[in-house]
Order: sequence, then structure tokens, then C-alpha cells
Amino acid sequence: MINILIAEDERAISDLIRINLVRNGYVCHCAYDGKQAADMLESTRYDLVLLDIMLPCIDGYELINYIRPMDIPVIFITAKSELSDKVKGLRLGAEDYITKPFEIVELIARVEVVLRRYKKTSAILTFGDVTVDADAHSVTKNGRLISMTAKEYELLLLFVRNPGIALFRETLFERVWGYDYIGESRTLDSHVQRIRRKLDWDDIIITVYKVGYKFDVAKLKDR
Amino acid sequence: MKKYVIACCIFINIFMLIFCAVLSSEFDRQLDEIQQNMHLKAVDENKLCLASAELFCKRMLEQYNTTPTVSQYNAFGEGRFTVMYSTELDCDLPQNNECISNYIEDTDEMLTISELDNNRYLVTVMKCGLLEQKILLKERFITISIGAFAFWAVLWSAFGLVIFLHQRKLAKAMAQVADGNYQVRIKGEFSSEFNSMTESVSNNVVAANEAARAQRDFVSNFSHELKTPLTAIIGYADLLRSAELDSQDTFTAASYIFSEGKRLEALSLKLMDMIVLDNHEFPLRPLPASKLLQHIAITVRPMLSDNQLDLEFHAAAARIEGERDLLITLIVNLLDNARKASEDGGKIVLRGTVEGDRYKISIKDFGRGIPQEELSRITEAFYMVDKSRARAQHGAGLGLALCQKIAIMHGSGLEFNSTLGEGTEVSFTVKKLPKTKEVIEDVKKES
Repeated sequence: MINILIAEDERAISDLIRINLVRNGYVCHCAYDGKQAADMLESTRYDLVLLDIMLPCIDGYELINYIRPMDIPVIFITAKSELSDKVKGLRLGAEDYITKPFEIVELIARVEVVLRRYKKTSAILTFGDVTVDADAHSVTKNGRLISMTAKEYELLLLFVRNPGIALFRETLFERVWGYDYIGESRTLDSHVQRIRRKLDWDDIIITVYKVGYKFDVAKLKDR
Repeated sequence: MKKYVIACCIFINIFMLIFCAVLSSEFDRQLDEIQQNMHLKAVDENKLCLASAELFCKRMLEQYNTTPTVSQYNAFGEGRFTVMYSTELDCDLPQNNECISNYIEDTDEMLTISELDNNRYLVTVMKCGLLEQKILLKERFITISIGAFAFWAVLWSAFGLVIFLHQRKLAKAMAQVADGNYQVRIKGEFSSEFNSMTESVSNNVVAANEAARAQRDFVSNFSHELKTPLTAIIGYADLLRSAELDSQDTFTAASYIFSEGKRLEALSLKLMDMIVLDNHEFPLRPLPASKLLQHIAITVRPMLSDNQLDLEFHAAAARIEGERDLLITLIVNLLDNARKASEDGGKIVLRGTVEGDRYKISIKDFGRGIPQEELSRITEAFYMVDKSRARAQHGAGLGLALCQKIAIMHGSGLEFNSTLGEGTEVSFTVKKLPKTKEVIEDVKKES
């Protein structure tokens, strides 16, 4: 069980992060100001802190100095997007930096990466007979290594990290190919086709009409 | 300071010139006097001269074994004697227009013998002391002149050096200013001009920096105010479209989208107000002050009674100049701020008083007060003293910025007087118009 502390004074944002992280199986606690966050850090052991910089009472820059000796990874969440702010945040010992507005897929991905770096979560994800090793960048099915291109692997990782979420074509495209989705592209479809064929996941990665694809983890359990 | 030095130098120079002139004329005068004295001596004291001539003759007899025949006395300090040639004269006599000088130590006299014609010689006696005095006077004159000139030259070069050093200092200071250090101040000549220049440059730069900072803060605050609701709206909408949520989460997501959307709307409306205020001219019209304040008091009472707040209201009757709707917006905003700062069951005072040719409107609450260090910044756009509380009350931090703009339009600005824990008084003034019959009637009616 992974405990995450969300220190964010905007309730709307705080709840948004909480709902999404809870859906991904994390346990979340929310602090709405710096003082509350410090108190909660003292009483409970957390695996990760999502920290807003502009917090009332004690701001994020101050708070991270308090968190650092505890060896808890910190991801900054803030509207400040200037490079100097990023550098300052990272220099103070933050593991990562997310600027508002952010997409939930991005937040989840960053949380996963940081947790894995800190060995809080296993790098090995198992879905039925398929095993994804995020450290070794390898995929095996029934113990047999499946060869995949880099893009196919990243796409697969995105699906398995967001189970039950309808991933939109533009999101997938942006996350994997790194640029905006431009009109009608068969690239994404052909990649998904190949993943389905290699893993025999025709009914697991399902097409969502007019949206994109969804990794239907529930169906995997039925098999 | 340097002005005095220059004046001093010029004065000293003029003094030196006058001194030299006086000195030379004085020397001339002294020389004249010496000669005149001799002259007078020769004329007035014939006997003495004769006596000395006799003495001279005696001495000539002793020295040269001859007696000269005194033939002539000179009026110019020299005794002149014509000496008849004598073969017994056992000294060298000048020949071929030569001239022989002998110094007689006893009497400190110079004897000059020159051939006049055959067997006749001219002997000239001159008091050496006078000669020395003459030479001494001349030498002293030269020494003093050279000394004065040297002093003058040293003074001028020192002055030049001072000016040169000063100019170097000035140039260095200017270079520093060019490098962007506007705090440079110098001492000495031109200091007031230079310092006032750097002062004004520095003030301008500070003002420009301040404006740039305000602009930067505005943009950064604006983007923060914009990004937070946008993140929420995009995030919840994304959640709704991507995942199958239970009814509780669906409701939460939809409510947040609604409330954050409302927040954006409020923000955009306030921004629009500010832009309109910046870009439009609002004509100021005569208004009855007490009626306006009374109208406002009646309007806000229900809002205040929600918090069991009591509104105390005093307004002096006067005719003021202003834009009615904007003034209402301003006062209602300030009253709303007072309400937010007050504890439930407290009191707010709205007061209108005449102050000379201005009409002062003040709003006083007895709430939590504003920290002193925040007072100067609270009228900046997006500035919030207590962020989380402002958020909870749906503030965007634009209210006071808007109020300040309206107050400035009416020829004043918001003035804050606040003590932590005791309350805040905000006031501003508008122009008061001279009383007319109408107003006097109004006052009568009201009383």
C-alpha cells in the first residue's frame, strides 16, 4: 500500500489528484496548508509527497527542507512555469516537477516513475500471463520474451499504467510520440494492432468508439 | 564649496597683480625719495657738502699728495670736484678717457676719477650706502616679484589639479551610472547637479522597475489565477470522459467544473471592468452625497444582516462631483471587504464628512485588521493578504485594485489606517461642489 500526501491549498485540484490516485490504487491524504502538511508528515509515514509551492502558512520551498531529511520523494505541483522556478525546485531536492495545467495521465506517469525510482513499487507488473518489467524495459508472455519496438513498449506501458481509463487518441499520441496529434493518423492504430497480436490482447485493449483505446483490466481477470 | 575656492583664487590673483603694481610703484617712489633726499641735501645743505668737500680735499692730500680745487657740487647725491692736475700726484691717473674707481673704506665712499681735459680731472664721490640701498631695493623687488609669481603659478596648478581630479571623479561616477549603478553620489563642485541627475535617473529607473515588477506580477498572478481553475476544469472533464465514475465522484467532478468555471467568469468580469476603467472617460456629475450614501446603506443592510453586522451611518449633506455607479461600486466593495474582515455581530461605520473643498467618505470596521507590511501592496491586482481565506470567499484579489482605480478617477486614492486585531479604516475623498439653493433645500428637507 502506497501512502501519498497531497499538499495543495486549492481544494478543486487537491480532490482531482486524490480521485485519480485513488483510482490507481494509492492511498491519499490531503493537507490544505503548509502547517497541516508538516503536522501530517510528523505523524504518518508517507511514500511520496505532492507539494504545491504557493501554500499558505509554510510554502513549498520551505517545506521541502523539512521533508528532505525524511528521505521521502517530493514532486512539486505549481502554476509557476518559469525555468528558474523549476531549477530552484529541483535543486532543493524535488524528484520531479509538474506545472499547472497538467493532464492526469502525465501526473500518474510521473508518480509511477518516482515511486519506482525509490523502489516503493515493483518494477514488474503482471497481467495474466504477461509480465512487464519497467526496469529492464522487457515484456514476457508465458516466460517467453516478446520483442517490441520502443514506441510499442511505451504505448503498452501507458495502457497498463492507466487501467480502466479510456485513453484518447490525442493523449496517446502526445505521450508516446511527444507531439500533438495531427488529424487522421494510422500510426497509432497500427502500433496498437501489433501489441494486440504480440500479446494476444485483442479483447483486452479495446477500441472506444470516437475516443481511442482502453486497457480493460477487468476482462483480463475474467479470462 | 568649489565656488568659494574659485572666487578665492580670482581674488588672490587680482590681489597679486595689485600688490605687484603697488610694490613696483613703491620701489620707484622709494628710489625717487632717496635721490630726492640727496638732491635736497645738496641744495639745502651746501655747507655740509662743502664740509665734506673739504674733508675730501684733505683726504686727497693724504692719499694722493695733492689738493683738488673744488669747482662744482652735484645735486644728485654725488659730490663733484674738479681736480687740477698735479705732477706730485702719486697715484695712477686715468688716461685716454679711462676712469679709475677707488673705494674709501673709512667713509664708505666711492671715488671715481676720470680725465676731463689736459691736466684736469673730474673726481666723483658717491656714498656707497646709497648705492647698496638702491641695489638692495632692486633685488628685493625682483625677489618679491618672482616669489609672487611662483606662488601664483603653484596656486593655479594646484587649482588645475583639483579640477582635474574632480573631473576624473566625475567621469568615474558617470561611468558607474552608465553601468547601471544609480546610487552614485559625489561631493564637491557640480555635486548638486550631478546628484540631482542621478537622483532623478535613479527615481525614474526605480519607477520603471516598479512598473515592470507590477506588470510581471500581474501577468504571473493572472496566469496563476487562470491556471488553477483551468487545471481543475480540464482535469475533471478529462476524468469524466475517460473513466466510469461512481455517482459521488461524478457529482464532485461536475460541481468543481461548475464552480471553477464560475470563478473564471468572475475573474474575466473583473478584468473587463478594469480594462473598461482604464480605457474609458467617465464624465463626473454633481451628486447629493448624503442621498447617495443613504442609498448604499439601504442596499447593503440585508447583506450585512446575514452576518448580524450593524451599519452605523453618518453623512454630512453636500454636493459632490462623481460618477454615481462607480462610486456605488467602490463603496459597496469597501463595505463588503469590511464585512469579510469583521466577526459576526460586529459593527461597520460608514461616514461622509466635509473636509475643506473635498468630501471624505470613510468605511471603518472593527475586524482583524491588515498587517502593516501588506498595506502598501493591497491595492495591487491579485494581491491577497490571506490567500486561502480570499479563495474561500471567492476573491480573485482584484477588488481593491478596482476600488483604487475608481478613487484615482475621483482625484484621490484609497487611504488605509489599520491596526491588527482592532480594525481597518479605509477612506477616500471626492470633490465637493459649492452649495446651491437646491442642496440647501435638500438639507432643510432632510433636517
